[in-house]
Amino acid sequence: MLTFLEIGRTGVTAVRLHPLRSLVSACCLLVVLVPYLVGVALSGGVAREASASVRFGADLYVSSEALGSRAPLPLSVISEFRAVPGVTAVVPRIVGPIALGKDREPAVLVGIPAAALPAGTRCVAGRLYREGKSNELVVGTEIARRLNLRVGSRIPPFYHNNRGERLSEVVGIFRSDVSLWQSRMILTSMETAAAVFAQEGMAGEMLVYCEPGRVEAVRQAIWQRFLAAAGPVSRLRITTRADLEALLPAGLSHQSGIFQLHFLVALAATILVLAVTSGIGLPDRRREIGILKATGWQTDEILLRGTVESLLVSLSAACAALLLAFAWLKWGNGYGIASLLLPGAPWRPTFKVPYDFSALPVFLAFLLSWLVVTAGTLTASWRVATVPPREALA
Amino acid sequence: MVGRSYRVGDRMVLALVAGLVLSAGVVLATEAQRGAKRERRAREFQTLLRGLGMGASVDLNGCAFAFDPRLERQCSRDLGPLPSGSAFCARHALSVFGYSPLQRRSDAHIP
Repeated sequence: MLTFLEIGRTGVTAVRLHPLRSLVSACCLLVVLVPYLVGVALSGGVAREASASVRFGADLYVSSEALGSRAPLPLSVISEFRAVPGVTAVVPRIVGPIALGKDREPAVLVGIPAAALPAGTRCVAGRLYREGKSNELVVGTEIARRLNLRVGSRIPPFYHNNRGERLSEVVGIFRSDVSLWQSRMILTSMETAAAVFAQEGMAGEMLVYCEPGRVEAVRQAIWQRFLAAAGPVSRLRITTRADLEALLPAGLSHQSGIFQLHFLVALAATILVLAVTSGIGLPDRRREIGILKATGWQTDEILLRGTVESLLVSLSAACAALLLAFAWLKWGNGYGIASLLLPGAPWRPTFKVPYDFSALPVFLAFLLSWLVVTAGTLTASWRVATVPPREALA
Repeated sequence: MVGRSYRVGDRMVLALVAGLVLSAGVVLATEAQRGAKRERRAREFQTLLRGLGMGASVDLNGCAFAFDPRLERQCSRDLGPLPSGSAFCARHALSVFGYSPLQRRSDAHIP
């Protein structure tokens, strides 16, 4: 046992004997592992927020469809939905795209009745809007930055409506750390949103809340009630919380996009690692192994030495990659990479980039890097260790 | 003397590796404990919006499905039957968070 430990210790020495080789190998691994860990952490962060969006949302999302596209529903259906047994509340909502400013900044306009807003909300700097004649808006951080808006700023008319256009006032700005989706969001009352889209008396969707355990019965009742009605003018879409939960992936299965990108980078960079560990460092390694063989070392001992050397390099690289990825997301707020991986996000995000680090991806990163470095080191060591010392030293 | 300096050098390498492993462990442990605070913020925002936003996209530009499948059940640029057909949508090709289209199981007709 002591012999193995002593041989292992020479693996530590091997890391030091060829600092350039160790450094280049570790750097190549970092090039692969840092974007991988950042991507996986971002993916975990978005998954966490998506899960909250489903859990704290409505039980049923009912909208309409006409000519194959999403269409508004009349507000008159609210009373019909409320009459369905098991329904506890129905809230209309409007969600649609708009463009603001001379650069036509894209934004997501959300209209919710002021009466349906929860009391004591702390996710907004300023205040929430009130129902009334004036257009009061709560804007996201990116919209506020791009249009240089503050609480109290006034926005000239940005929409066309036959009933007239009004100035809008910014009464609140979302806090940057509440969600990534707030960044380009504009939250306002139903009346204002309906006026912006010139759809008075309509809602984009109805959010239906049900008594516990009666969601499926309510869904069936709404479905049956409207299926029985005469004249199929438009279709009704009903999305349940269970439908959305089924979309939420579990574990590491949700990084399809990042893997497609990352494997290309990984492939290119690991070739460099293999080249350094097996090819470029070969003359040094030949000489070293030749001397060891000449002094009585066996092939398995040389391979053990190489394995320990690879373990140290890859373990250091995996841990350093985690620290760099953490620093990039926590203090760098995903500078640069967020705009690549989160569509619509700017180069320097104005929202707190969501991320979640867990042990499994780090372990997989370490395993991958150990496999790559060990493959290169052991192949080269084996080739030299199996020839007579005289040939190895030649 | 040479052997001693080698041992000191080895210990420095081991200490460096141990420091990196320890720091990585601390990062993972502290991150695991931040869950409650994040949950409270997300809950407050989603209660206000009543459930909005699910994908990695931050706006509706080009693809509402990438923002929230409640708004569009599938991507209009998804050429699904083709291999990598979903990659034709710029909002999905590099997305870190993908999901499949919503199933049509709850449709009805209204007058």
